[in-house]
Amino acid sequence: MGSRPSIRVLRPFASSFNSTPFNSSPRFQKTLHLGGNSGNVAAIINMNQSSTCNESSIEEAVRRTLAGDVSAFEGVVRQFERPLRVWLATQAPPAIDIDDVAQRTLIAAFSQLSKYQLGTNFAAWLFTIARYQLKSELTRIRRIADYHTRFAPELLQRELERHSNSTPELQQLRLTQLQRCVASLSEQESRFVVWRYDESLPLEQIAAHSGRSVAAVKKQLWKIRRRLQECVERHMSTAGEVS
Amino acid sequence: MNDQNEFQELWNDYLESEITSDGMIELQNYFASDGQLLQHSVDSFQIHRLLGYDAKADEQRDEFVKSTMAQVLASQQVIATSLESSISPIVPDTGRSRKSLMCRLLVTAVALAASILVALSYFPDSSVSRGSIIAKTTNVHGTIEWTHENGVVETLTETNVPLTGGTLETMTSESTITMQFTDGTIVTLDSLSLLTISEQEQKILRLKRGNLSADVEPQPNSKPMMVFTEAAELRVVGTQFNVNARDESTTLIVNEGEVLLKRTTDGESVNVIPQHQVVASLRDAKQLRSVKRARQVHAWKSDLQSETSHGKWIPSKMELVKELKLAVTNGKMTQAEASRIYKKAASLNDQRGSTFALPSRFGLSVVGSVNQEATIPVVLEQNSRIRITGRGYAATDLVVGITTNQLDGGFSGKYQQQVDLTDLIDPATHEFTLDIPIKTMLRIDDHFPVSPIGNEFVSCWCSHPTNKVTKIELTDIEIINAE
Repeated sequence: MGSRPSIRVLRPFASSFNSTPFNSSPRFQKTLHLGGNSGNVAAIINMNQSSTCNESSIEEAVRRTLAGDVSAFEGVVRQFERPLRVWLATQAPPAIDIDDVAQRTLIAAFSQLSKYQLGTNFAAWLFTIARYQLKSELTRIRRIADYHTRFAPELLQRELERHSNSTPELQQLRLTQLQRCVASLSEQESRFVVWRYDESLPLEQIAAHSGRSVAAVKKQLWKIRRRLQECVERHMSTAGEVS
Repeated sequence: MNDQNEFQELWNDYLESEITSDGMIELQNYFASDGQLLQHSVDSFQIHRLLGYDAKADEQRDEFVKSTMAQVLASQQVIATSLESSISPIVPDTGRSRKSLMCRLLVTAVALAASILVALSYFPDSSVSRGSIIAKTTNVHGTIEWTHENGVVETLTETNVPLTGGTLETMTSESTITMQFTDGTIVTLDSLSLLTISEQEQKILRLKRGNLSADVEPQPNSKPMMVFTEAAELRVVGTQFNVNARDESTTLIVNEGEVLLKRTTDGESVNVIPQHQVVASLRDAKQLRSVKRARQVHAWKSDLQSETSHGKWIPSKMELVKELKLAVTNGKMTQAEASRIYKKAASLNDQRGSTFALPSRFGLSVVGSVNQEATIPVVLEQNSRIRITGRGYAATDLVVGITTNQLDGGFSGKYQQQVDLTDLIDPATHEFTLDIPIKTMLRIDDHFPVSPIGNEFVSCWCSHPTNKVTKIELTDIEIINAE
């Protein structure tokens, strides 16, 4: 059987091909001032403190929205845009547009806002809607006849679904730890991360920049992701012990 | 290449969207044979997604917030409009209330204008819009299932529900839904129909089956409303028309303006003008002809074999075959005798038979419609009656209903009457005959005209709310004109 043409799969987050100089990359700057293991506890404490502070402002925004001030809902959108997208990024299988699901979640929350009981947990209420929206999108996408052969190896998808009970806070924390772990990469490894994710360069271009073969670039990216995963897990377990 | 290298290459191809179909199969095999590898891949996938998110999060944040708020405002606008329209009719007509109504309208207008302005400022580029509201329901009757473009399925029961793109299905014989698009275009979907709606730069309607009536506001010539069926595609720039779509053919009747119909099989097209109709068929390769609708008639007799739009037609010969087979099996006659009887009974011109009601989760129903090719409207008069003959296998209630269109216009209404078959069924043959004056039938929704008299008869249905109590088969439907 001859080789079949390659299939384009939706690539999340990869759109820009601007080649920002490495040192001025936002990730590079962001990661430079992060780092250090002492940040783990601080990150959790900071999250807990800020979430307590935010609860009252969210309640206030919800109250104002319910009273007819629709613009107050922007406060809710701004507050939850990040946790929603982070959570969805780790839960949604390929081919699902996570921004779309996040947006539907917020619009559904707005239209059902009168059902939210003030003084309870808005974040929990919102993420229940998000889970439902994600499930609906999964149901829809599975109806696409060739979904499994084009987008998601079934076993991978099943495994991802098994992880779908992880909390938004946990994923937020993972992202924070990931940023720290990226900061701990060697400069050469950081370059690969910036080329691939910040600048969305094709592998061929990364190969040309690094003077390696495409196959070597693929291997390098696998190793970097593996190292970052181990680093995140190590820091998460440390954070878990501390908390 | 060793296994590990091969896997890493495949996995990267997968993440980079460059994997081939064969590669995907190989990847599946790796996962199936190594649980730890699968676990590592899930971790790797999540890291990949988080890195991707983190890289673009800051620059995408404002766009995301703006786009979301624009949609929030748009949905608020639809709700505000619907609330206003539902409040207005109950305001008493006094000078003072008129003044307050004017004030309210003014406030609403200002609020709407502000919403639109803010929404526009949120949409510097229309490409960022997602799932925009394109229409709202203005009349809903019966069971309507609405599949949103994100796959969520819900049952529509109320008017003024905002609709994004998606699919509407009218589930029962009495179901109907009317929706109004944001430009004022009104579309009504009749019973047992399936329609997908979308509007990006132009309105796209896909009528998989059933009847649709549309009153279309003027559309830009470069972006006409398009209606697709299996057999035809219609290009509409502003008009009133009715479409009936079946598996193999589509009928278009134009009442105002013009509609260009193109047959899907060969691309042949015809411009259809008012009071004309055309039938496009997948099987028929004859020249498309737009035919003028003739003057009205007041009587109609069904040809259920070709005019059953929902139900199963079974020729009488099939029943005879069943009886003969049973007789042979029971030893009551020989094979040769049975063949002789069948040959004697069979005739090429024998079109006798009956249409059986089909079961569904909403009960039994059967629908007979006026032939798609008929060019003469059947108009109901004061003394019109509907006569239905058939068989029922239990003494139970039956609902008989009719669907009507305005004469030379769009959808008008649905009317029905409940009938108790207890005294009407012949116990020996199970046969019944119903004879119902049209003027006694009741509208099923307050939005429909009080009486169907003067309107065009489109179809008739019989239904029963469950599948277990009885079987229904119809042998004839007639509209007669007699006291």
